Amino acid sequence: MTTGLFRWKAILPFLLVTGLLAALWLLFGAEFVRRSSEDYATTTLGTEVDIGGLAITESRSRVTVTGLQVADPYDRSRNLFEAGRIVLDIDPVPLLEKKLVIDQMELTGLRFMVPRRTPAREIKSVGIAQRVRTQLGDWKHQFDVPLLSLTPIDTIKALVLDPTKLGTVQAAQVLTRQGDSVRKALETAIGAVQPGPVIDSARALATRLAATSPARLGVQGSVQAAADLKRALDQLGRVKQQVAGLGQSAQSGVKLLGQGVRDLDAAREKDYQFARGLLQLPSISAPDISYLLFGPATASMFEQALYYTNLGRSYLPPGLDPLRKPGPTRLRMAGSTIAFPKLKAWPTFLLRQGKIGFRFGGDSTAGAFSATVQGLTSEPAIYGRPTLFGARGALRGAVPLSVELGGALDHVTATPRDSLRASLAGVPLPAFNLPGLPYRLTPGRGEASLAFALDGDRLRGAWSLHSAQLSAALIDLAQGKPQTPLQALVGRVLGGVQSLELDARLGGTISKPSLQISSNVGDALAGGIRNVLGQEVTRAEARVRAEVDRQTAQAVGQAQKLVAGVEKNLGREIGLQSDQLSKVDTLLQAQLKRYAGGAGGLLKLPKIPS
Amino acid sequence: MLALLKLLQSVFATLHSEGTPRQVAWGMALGTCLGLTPLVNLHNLVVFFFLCVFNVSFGGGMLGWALAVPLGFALDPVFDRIGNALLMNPGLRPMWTAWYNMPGVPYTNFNNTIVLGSVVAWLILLLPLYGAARWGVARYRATWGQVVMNSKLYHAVSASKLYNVYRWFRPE
Repeated sequence: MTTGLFRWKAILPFLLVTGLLAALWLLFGAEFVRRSSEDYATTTLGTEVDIGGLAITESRSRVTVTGLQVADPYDRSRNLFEAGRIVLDIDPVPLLEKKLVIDQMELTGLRFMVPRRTPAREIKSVGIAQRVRTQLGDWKHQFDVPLLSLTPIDTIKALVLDPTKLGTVQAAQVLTRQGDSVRKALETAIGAVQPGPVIDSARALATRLAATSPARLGVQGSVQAAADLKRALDQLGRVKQQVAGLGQSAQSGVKLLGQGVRDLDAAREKDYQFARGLLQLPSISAPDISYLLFGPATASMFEQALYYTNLGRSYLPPGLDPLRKPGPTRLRMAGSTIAFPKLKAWPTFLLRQGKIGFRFGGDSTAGAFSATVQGLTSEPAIYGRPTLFGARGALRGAVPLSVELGGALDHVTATPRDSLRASLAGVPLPAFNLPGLPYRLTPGRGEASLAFALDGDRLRGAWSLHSAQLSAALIDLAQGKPQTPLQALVGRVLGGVQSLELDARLGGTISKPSLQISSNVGDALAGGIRNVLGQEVTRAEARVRAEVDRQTAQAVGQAQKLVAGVEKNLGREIGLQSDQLSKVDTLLQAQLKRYAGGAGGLLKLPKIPS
Repeated sequence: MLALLKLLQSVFATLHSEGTPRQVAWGMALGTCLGLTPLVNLHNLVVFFFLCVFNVSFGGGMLGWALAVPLGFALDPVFDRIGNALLMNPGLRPMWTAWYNMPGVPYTNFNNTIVLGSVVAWLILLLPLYGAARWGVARYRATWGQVVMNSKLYHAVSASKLYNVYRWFRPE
């Protein structure tokens, strides 16, 4: 047996195996790439992606894709778009670094929202797209659009109030307790001061000295009298300070109770609203009704815009930090694959320039509509420029139609900024099922515009629809007719509205969005409801107020009486004591002047307490 | 069942081959890489190339592969943690960044936590594996080898067609 380092006779089988692999690539490489691309795109976009065919021309670094279908993640029965043919001219050098740089892309035969023959499969794998969808799962529910309440008018006659649930009663009980507490505290404090003996003693001294004269008492006696007067004045001053402190405490207590009385008014207003809610009165505010009618559809539309924007941010992140994503699917654990981008290198993916020809509406000419995309890259910080995209085109003829779209994904800096604007004219507008109502609005052809921007986490959006061909139809055919008088009213109002003017504004942040909607349909419906229900609603509201007042009258009366008692009685008591103290103080001061003068000015007059 | 039979065949063929314990041990140590790390990766092509052209026991390699596969599956969470710790280490980031942007290197999938963790673990275990395998083979041949070689089971296994294929790659 030899023990040389190399086994030369194994070289040939190894080369054969290598050659076999190369042959397999030539035979099945394109199919392998097609399937891998399908899987990768499906995971990336979170929706089924099908590729009809794929051909690789190695000599020209060209890949040709045909029959691309991308299912709509929000409606699996249709394709978001289909592309007839895509030609990708690939820069071969970055491939050495496992990076895909597409110099030029030409896409033809693009069509949008095409019904699928079979529904797309549900994608259950946990990828970035699924995570973005999960994060956004409850986003539109933040708008909390309730159903338009159109209960029969009869229900507003029924009102059952539970007094314990009324805030006014609770506030009155709190106020009563507070008033009682303030009263007891002040009475205790007044009892502790006990000014009576001091006043009596001082008054007796003043009376005794008034009955005699300094000359009769002599110098020694006058000095003693003046010293007694000074001591009495000091004692009186201390009591006056205590009574003044009591007065301030009383004022604070009364102020607190006054706030409690004002809180009673606020609580009563809330009780009116609460009781009004029990009546299930329909809203008659036009913005409210527009919001109720078109809120869900508008929120869904903005949610889709936000989904694609967030998806873009996940795949095209700002900065140069390592980017983690799930590893490849295999029998073993996938682990995580981490990209380490750096400046002055190729990004992992870059599409420098793409030209897209697409069909829209009834376009059969091909070439009327075109779109471009520039600088689409997985590492925008390396590329250093925002991704720009746009589309435009127009059809003339019996049904003129035009499309204009533009946008930018600026992820170059740490704070990404994304924007999209689109305007379409002559296109069929989406139909609306009115939430909670058995009606469907079909706007027909019209104009639509959308502007959406996400700056950091700040949202700005505007959506408007205009159509002069609005029609409404009852869709609850099982019933065949409206169920309530108000549903019939809605039907009559909608029958008289021939156009649609819808304007929606989105603002706030992703976590705290705000949405305002106005529409001529909402205005008309609000007017109709107001005409029919106006008087009934006014009467019902008056009854609500009366009932709330009746339920809360006793508790409020008790509280107010107690507060008034505290204000009046304690104020009078403190005032009385202050008056008596002042009078005695005056008497003592007068006697002090007499006896201090009698002592030949030997005594220094005390400083009169303020 | 067939897999078990193949494994048994491989074990016998390797242990009773003409290769020295050193050749068998190197074969097993290299073959362990095929089972311990995710198979479809560039580094395994290199290991396979070594198994073919270096005068080590190819059967030992296949045996190492077969034995290491279940171990690889079981240790994937550990490899993931090792790989993650290495890839996310700030001190090593300049090196990973350089490798990531170097022609050819990204095809090794070194930036996958499982691939990096398992390859590093295999490299650390390479010499201990080699030493243990060399000692084990030598010890087996000195004690049980002759007994097994005379058994009916060994003759049945070595007579199969697979054994002939194996002989192409046995150590010279």
